[in-house]
Amino acid sequence: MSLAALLIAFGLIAVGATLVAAGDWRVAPRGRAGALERLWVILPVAFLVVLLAFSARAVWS
Amino acid sequence: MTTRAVAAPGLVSRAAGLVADYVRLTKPRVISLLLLTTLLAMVMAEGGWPSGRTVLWTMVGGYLAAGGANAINQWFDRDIDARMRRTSNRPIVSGRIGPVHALVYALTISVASALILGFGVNWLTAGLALLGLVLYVFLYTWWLKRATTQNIVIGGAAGAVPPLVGWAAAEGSIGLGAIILFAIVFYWTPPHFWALALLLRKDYAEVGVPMLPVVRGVEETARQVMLWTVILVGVSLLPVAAGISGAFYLASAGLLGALFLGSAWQLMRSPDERHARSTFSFSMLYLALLFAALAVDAVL
Repeated sequence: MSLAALLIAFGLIAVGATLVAAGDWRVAPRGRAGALERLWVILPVAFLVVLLAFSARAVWS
Repeated sequence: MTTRAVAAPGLVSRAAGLVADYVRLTKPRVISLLLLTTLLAMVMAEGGWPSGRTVLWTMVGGYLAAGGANAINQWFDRDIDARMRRTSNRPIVSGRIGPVHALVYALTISVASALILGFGVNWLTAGLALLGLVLYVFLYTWWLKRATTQNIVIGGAAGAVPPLVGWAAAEGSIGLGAIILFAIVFYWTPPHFWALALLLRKDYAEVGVPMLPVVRGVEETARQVMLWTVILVGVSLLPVAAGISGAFYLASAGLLGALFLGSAWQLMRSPDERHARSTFSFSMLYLALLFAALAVDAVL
């Protein structure tokens, strides 16, 4: 059950986060002015990666 | 009849009105959902009902911390609150409470919350509640709200702190379970708030706050609500993946997630006020029921 939940979670998160990040990245201002905007796009995605990694570790531990 | 006897009822009603305004300054309706996530996180961490004393001090301290943050927010935003229909009757902008009085009150109850949580529960809980306040006041209100369309995404971290507070209050530490609860509220905030922002976009546009519907339009906001709901439903399955919750929670999260996705899908197809309102309303029910399912599963 844990593995199935992890795989479904991974699929949903991957699809959602990729589409959100790609769209937000495209409209972020170019150059230094857009650096912070890009950081705001990256942070939630990075947090998702960390969450999935810790959850995967729990599945296989 | 003496003058004093006539004046007394007026004085009492004025005092009651002032007390009500000071309570209103804390935004009690917003806090109720935050406190519910705190309480249910406590039940989950404890695997049962925590001691009455811990619950009492955590709820009181949690209310005061969130209330202090909300009051500081209203003090800071009084310039734009005065120009928005929805907020123009708030106690500060309507002149019923002076800005200095409001700020002193906000700081006082914030300090009181830290002391209550520190001495009544533990200092980790007090520190986390203070972190939530600092994130809301400085990260969201002061920095991001008027600067970026991502304001509610990053600033949403403040609203996700209450489950950490509850977990720390019950267990004295925070682990993966607490972080996942934080994540659920964190990824719930964008679809929840943007559904509301769709209803208030004219107000936000008028005062120049770059909420997503103002900057990127209604259709794009409805699309983002859908995509963030997909992410949220994925995150809501992580308690099962991490072995923290079981079958009861999985079934509940699946059902609630399907309903939320259905509502967001309807909004994306027809991004009108009716669907924005129903998505916003359902998002609150979703979070309350999801946390209830987590708590029930932990007790089973």
